[in-house]
Amino acid sequence: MTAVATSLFTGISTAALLFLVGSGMTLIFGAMRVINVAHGSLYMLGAYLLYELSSTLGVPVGVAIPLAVGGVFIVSVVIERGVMRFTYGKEHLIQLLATYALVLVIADLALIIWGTTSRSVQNPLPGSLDVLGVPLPAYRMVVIAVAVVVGLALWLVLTRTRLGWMIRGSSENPATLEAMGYSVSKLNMVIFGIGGALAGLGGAIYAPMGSVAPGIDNAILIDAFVVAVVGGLGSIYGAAIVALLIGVLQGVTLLVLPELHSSLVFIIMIVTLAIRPWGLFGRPER
Amino acid sequence: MKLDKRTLDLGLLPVILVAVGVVLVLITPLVKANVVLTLQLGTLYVLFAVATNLLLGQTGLLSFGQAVFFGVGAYTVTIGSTVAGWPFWLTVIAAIAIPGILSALIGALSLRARKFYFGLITLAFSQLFFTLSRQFYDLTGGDTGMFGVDLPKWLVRPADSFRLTVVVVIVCVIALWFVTRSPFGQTLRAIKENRQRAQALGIDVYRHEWIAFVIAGSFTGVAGLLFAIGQQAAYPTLLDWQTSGIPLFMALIGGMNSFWGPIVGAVVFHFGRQGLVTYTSHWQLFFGLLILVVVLFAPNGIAGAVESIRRRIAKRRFLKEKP
Repeated sequence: MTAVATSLFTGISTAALLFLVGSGMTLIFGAMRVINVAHGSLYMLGAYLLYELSSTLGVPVGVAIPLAVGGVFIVSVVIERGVMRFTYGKEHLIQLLATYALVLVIADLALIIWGTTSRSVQNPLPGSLDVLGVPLPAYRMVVIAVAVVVGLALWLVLTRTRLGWMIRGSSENPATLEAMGYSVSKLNMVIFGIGGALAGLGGAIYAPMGSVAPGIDNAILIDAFVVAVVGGLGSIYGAAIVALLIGVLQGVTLLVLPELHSSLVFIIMIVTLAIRPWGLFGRPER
Repeated sequence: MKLDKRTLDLGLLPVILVAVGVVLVLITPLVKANVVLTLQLGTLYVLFAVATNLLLGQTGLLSFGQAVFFGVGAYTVTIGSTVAGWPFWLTVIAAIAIPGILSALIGALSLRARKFYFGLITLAFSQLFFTLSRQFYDLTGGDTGMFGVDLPKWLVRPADSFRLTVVVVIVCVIALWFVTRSPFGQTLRAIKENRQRAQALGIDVYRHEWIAFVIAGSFTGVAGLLFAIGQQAAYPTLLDWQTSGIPLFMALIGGMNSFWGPIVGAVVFHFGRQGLVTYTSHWQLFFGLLILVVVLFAPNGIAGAVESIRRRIAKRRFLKEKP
C-alpha cells in the first residue's frame, strides 16, 4: 500500500513539473502559433542558473528560484527579439528550424560553461511529511503546490486581465488587435518571455530533485511536447490534465510494466497525433 | 552543344555526378585509409540529404524522423551479419526492405498530421526508436551499440567500401533526380506550393505525400546501410532527432529549393564539421549560429545565392544589349 501511494505521489509531482514546462510551450503556441523547440534548452538554463546561484553563490533555494526564473525570462526575451521576431509570418518550417538551431547553440554554450560533469543542488527540504501514515518527501509537495499556484495564476491572467484578453485576441486575430492600437510585436515578446520563464521555473524547481547535466534539455523537451500536444496546443487545462495523466501513468508503469516505462510517452504522442492531431482539448487548425 | 538553361537542367547534373564519381574512385588508392573513411561518410550523407530533401524541399514536409530509417538501415546490417548470421546478400536485401516497409507504416500514420504536427509525430517516432534501441540490449548492444560487421572479402578494405558507396550513392541520387523531374515530382511541388489548390485539382495529396515519404525513407535506409558497411557500426544516436536534423541542416545550407543544393550542403556540412572538429570541440555552436543566419537571412541557402547572382548577371547583360 505504501509503495503504491508513494509511486502515485511521485507520479503527481512529476506531473507538476511536466505541467510547468508544458504550459509554457502551450502558451507560446496558443498565442503565437510558434512551436518552440528550444523550450527544453530554457528548462536546462533554469536548472543551471539555480545551480550557479545556490551552490556557487550560496543563495538560499527559496530566493534563488525566482532569480533563476527572472534570468530565463530575460534570455527568452532576448531570443524573441534577436531571432523569433524575424520568423513571424514565414513558413512554420523556418520557425521550427530556427528554434532547432537555438537548441544546438544553447546546448553547446552550456557545455562550454558547465562542462559534462553533472551538477547537483542541495535539497532545501530533505525531510518528509506523514500523510495518513505514508511518509512523502516535503520538497515534492512544494513542487506540486507551485504547479497548482502557477496553473491558477495562468488561468486568472488569461481570463480576468487585460493581458489575458490581449493574448486571447492575438491568437484569434492579431491583425484586429493591431488595428485597435495594441502592439502585437510587444505582446509576442511578453508571451515568449513568460512561456520561457515557465520552462525556466520547471528547470529551477527540478534541480534540487535530480542531477543537472547535458541532455536534460532533450529529455524534458519530448515530455513537454507530449503534454502540450496531447493536451491540445494552446490549451492550459489540457496541459494540466495530460500532465497528470502521464505523470501517474509513468508512476504506474514503473511498478507494473517497467519495460514500457521509457517508450510510453512517445506511444501516447504518436497515437494522439495520428488520431486527433490537434490534441484532446485543442481546436483543429483553420 | 549549346549550354542553355534547359540542357543544363536536363542532363548536366547526372553527367557531373558521374564525372565526380569517376574521379573519386580513381584517386582512392592515393588517399590514406582514415581519409577514405571520412570521404565515405561524406558521400553517403549526400544520399541522406537528397533523399530527405524529397520531403523537405520538394514536398514541403519537415520530418524530424528520417534518422529512424537511417539508423534502422544501419542496425539491420549489424544485426543481420553478426547476431542473425545471415549471408551478406540477405542482409543487404533486408537493410533495403525493412526501412522501406517501416517508412510505409510510419508515413501512413504520420501524414495524418499536418504542418508542425507532422514534424512532432515524426519526432516522436525518432525518439521511440532511439529508446527501443537502447532497451533491447540483446539485439542492439544497448547504449554502446554494435561494432564490427561481417563483410564479404571484396568489401573489407575501406577503399573497397568507399568505391561501392560512391557507385551506389550516384545511382540513387540520379534515380531521385528522375523522380524529381517526373510528373510525380512536379505534382509534389504543386502540393508544396499550394496544398488546397492541388486538392481542388483532384490530386490525392495524402497518397502523393505517402509515396514521397516511402521513397525518401527507402533511400535513407540505403544511406544507413552504406553507413554500417563503411563505418562498421550502429549505435542508438543514429536514430535520435539530432541525427534527423543532420540532413535537414545539409539541405538548408545547400538550398532546399533546388535539387543540387542538398548535395553541396552535405559536402559543406560534413567537411566543414570535420574541419571545425580539428580546431574546436564546439562545432555545434558554430553550426547552430550558421543555421540561424541561413534560416533568417538566406533561407534558400547556397543554391539560392548562386541563383540570385546568375539572375543579376543575366539582368546586367540584358541591360547592356539594350541600346
